[in-house]
Amino acid sequence: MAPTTDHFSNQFKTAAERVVETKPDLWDGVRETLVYLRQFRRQAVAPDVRWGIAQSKFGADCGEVRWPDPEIQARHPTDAWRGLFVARPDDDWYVFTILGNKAGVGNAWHSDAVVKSDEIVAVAVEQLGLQPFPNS
Amino acid sequence: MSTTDFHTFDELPGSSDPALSATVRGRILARHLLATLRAESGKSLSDLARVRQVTKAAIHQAENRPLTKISIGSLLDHLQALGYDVDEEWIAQSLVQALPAPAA
Repeated sequence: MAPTTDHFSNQFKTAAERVVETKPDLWDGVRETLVYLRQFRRQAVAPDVRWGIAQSKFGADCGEVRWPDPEIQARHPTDAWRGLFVARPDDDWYVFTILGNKAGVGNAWHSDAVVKSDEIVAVAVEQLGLQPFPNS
Repeated sequence: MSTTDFHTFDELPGSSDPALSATVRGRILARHLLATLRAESGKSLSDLARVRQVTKAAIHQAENRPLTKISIGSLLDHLQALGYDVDEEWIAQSLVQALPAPAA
């Protein structure tokens, strides 16, 4: 099986660059969570990664990385960063779509972000020539 | 959008503090270990909460507790305090199964 490829949207990268400028310690946390997900993929069961976003049309294949972690969340009341991604069921590719802060917005953040995330995945499949998502 | 609107992991900002990143990674892997052990025991948070007669949040909070100076003995104590009936051999086998394959 070919190695999994990871693709990060321009939005994701731009948001990461903003975070690292203002809160580099938080970016280090987000980054390490990404490293963890890339290493363990579907076996990433720590609560730092959540698999299955009901609002996404990709359902169980859509997930998010979460930071700060529960151990330091109390020190960061205005930060609840989420990085959305979608993985092809066979793990041929991962597209990381939206990185944002849902603090103060709550679950409403997902209502908007997941729609954009699904759109970015469709663009990535077409423009990068990725294997289509099954039954899409 | 063009193909330049997508990037590789290496194009993201690097770590600003390698020591902090190492600490963070240790915490994530500690949580991964506990979640893996629970999953392999076939128990959900709700299962454990029911057995121990506490809230699911209490179990979740215990799993998120920082693990420092890990030894097999302290890890065993920690897991038994969470309600697991495990021994050192089981922990060792589960640890090996939870670890990623070594790099070639």
